Amino acid sequence: MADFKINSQKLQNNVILINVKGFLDAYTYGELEQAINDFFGQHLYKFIVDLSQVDYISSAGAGVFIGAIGLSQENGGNIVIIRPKPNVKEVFDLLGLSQIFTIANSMESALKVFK
Amino acid sequence: MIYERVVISSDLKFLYLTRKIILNILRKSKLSAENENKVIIAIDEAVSNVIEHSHGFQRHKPIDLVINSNEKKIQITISNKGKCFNPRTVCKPDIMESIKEGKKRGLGVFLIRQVMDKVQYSFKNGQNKLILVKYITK
Repeated sequence: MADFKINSQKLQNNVILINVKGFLDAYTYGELEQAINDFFGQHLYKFIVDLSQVDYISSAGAGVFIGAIGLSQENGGNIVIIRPKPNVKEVFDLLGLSQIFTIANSMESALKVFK
Repeated sequence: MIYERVVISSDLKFLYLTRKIILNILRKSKLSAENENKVIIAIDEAVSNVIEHSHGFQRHKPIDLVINSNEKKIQITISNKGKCFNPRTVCKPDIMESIKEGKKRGLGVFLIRQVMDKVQYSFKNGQNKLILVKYITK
């Protein structure tokens, strides 16, 4: 079984950086969803999600972001995706999510969204 | 020419392994790397739907995958005995509405239709059969 890991850390201005490693599919998406919901429970709504180490994403994985961005934005936050691999970005494109989510190439540009 | 048959159990934890096995089979075909990813997406979504909607997560129920390929196309037939799950009855999702409602599922069938050239479904004698076709472009 391939590794699946989620690490998170609080940055300046209550921005949460979530690093995901492995694959986000119908088996693993619940873990990321739980992590985001836990932050919502702490009234934290600003997220930078680093997908640079995600090798595969399915609709269930992308669905985590669709399910969370509404609540995040309603509370003054947002979800910014950084550095997705081409095959991961393709799924965002196919679902029409690239127009809805900010997809950044670096931490610096992602952080600017929250300034 | 490729003819491969893979039988998997209805356990979401095997999705990763299924994708890996299918990728190894696809690598023997003339499909481009870009289209390999598309076919993998479609199979992953279809199998996930069978596990959840047709088999109701009953792990012992098998899912049968047959991969056929020639110079012109690759065809994947996914069969299972279980509840009827007709992808044609699934509406095209409204992403903005999903965001508003916090609705995060129901995108798989839409994705399958986006990435494959032909999607055919039938239900006969208690068996779901989904045929996915991708044409090989040069």
